[in-house]
Amino acid sequence: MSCEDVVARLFEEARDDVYRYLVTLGLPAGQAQEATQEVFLRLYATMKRGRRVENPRAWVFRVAHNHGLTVRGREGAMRAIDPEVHLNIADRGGGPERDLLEWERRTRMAAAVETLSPQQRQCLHLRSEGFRYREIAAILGISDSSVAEFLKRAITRLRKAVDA
Amino acid sequence: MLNRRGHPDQRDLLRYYDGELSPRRAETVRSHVEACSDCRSHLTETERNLNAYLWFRREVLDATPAPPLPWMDPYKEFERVGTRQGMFAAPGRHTRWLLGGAAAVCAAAFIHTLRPVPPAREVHPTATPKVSVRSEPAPPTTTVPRAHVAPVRPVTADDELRVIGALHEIGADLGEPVKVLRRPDQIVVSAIGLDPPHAARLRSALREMPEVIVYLSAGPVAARRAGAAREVVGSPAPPAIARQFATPEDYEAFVDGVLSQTDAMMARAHALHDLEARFPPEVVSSMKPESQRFLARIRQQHMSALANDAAMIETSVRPLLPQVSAAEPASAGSLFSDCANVDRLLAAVFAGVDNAQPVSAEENLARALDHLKTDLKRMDMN
Repeated sequence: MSCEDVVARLFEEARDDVYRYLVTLGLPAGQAQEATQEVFLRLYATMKRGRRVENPRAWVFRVAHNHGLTVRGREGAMRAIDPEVHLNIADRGGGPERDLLEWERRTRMAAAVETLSPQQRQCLHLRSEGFRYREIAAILGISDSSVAEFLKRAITRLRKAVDA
Repeated sequence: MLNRRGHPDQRDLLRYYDGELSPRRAETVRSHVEACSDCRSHLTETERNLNAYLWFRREVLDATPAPPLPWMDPYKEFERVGTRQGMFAAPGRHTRWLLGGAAAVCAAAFIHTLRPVPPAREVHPTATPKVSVRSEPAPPTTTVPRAHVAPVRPVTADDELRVIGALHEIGADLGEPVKVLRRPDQIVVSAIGLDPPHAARLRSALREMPEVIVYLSAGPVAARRAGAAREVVGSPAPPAIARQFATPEDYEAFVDGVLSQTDAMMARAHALHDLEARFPPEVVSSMKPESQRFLARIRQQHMSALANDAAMIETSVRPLLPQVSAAEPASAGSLFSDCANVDRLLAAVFAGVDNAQPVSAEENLARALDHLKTDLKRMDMN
């Protein structure tokens, strides 16, 4: 498979994940989309120069993460994803009672997630993207053991919302 | 790997659950878990919490705005890559306008999909009855409460301040899950999971305000900031700062104390931040003089309490931090960001984050405390 095919295939598979990750980091939709595309083109350029990329998906997330933080820092008070977005989710047609219960459940989870540190949120997010701890560590620039520690604390905090 | 009670620590159990342990350690944990109902329960609970997060994440991500433009054709772009000067260059003017316009359309479409919240309460078997402080009868069931009630008069920033002041009087502006929303004809105060005494105090505080409508939804309080579990110790490799304590228990007590001070400080910082957002200078200048004085008093009370909390943190933590050069002249930064910085760095120091940064988290924390102190002094002088 050529370099073009590898990157194009990964782009098809992972672009939405990278885009959403950047949105959750605080980039507006337009910038997140543009950055997502640029990240994949950067991967292509890197591979085209003959550099071996062991794990292209983790590589893409790492570059996207660093770029997201840079943009967010440059633009100062850029607002992160609306913390109340959970309040605006349309019902699923399960009836008003079910909608209300789900609304309350979302609200509790949102309150709990809001108490997490950025690292805890990022570790949880990347874990749910299917990354191993060492991959998360590489993306975030921290150690494997820190990833486990952040995840453990995040889960402990979420427990209160789940138990409520 | 085993804690003092002979169980694998929580971090190793999580690693085991995620398949992140070496085969030998995984086998050790597996043998233990098979024989230990406590650890099996812990694993079940971990799975439940992670599944709840995955559900929430899926719900929220599904609600994020879609990309505003069609995705690029990668093959076409590959051809151009070789000729490009740099990645991540700022978009051209036309691209920027196009993206901006598309994003605006996307945002408008997203907002258009917003559903009124909260949903009708009478369908919830345990919901606390909705309390309208108006004397008129409650409106019929609808997801747009009081839509048919004619406004008495436009609601002003002075009215909003009276509500904020009433909440402030009962301490409901500090870490409580109470939201205040000003609409043209009413002020909506909503909260989920207030316990009955708090709910009663809230209703009582707002009873004399006819422009206010109160929504209280039953249910246990979610992990609010002030009460959130912030367990810190327990890492097999204790953070550097822990070595300055005689026993792990001493360190744990110290961390608990500092974190509760930090929570108190952040609650004040959030309250001040909220006031700044609600009542920017142009709004304040349009308010009545008595409202302006009232607002200044509330701010002052928050500021004094915040300064007090910051001083307590300083007293507790400073002796454990390295000496750093005197703080550079503080820029006109925001107090909120100063406090958030201290909060973040304290978490990093207590977590023992082993990063490869040239400057340690302890040094950064020392500087952040300096910065906070300088800004507080400057604001005090003003």
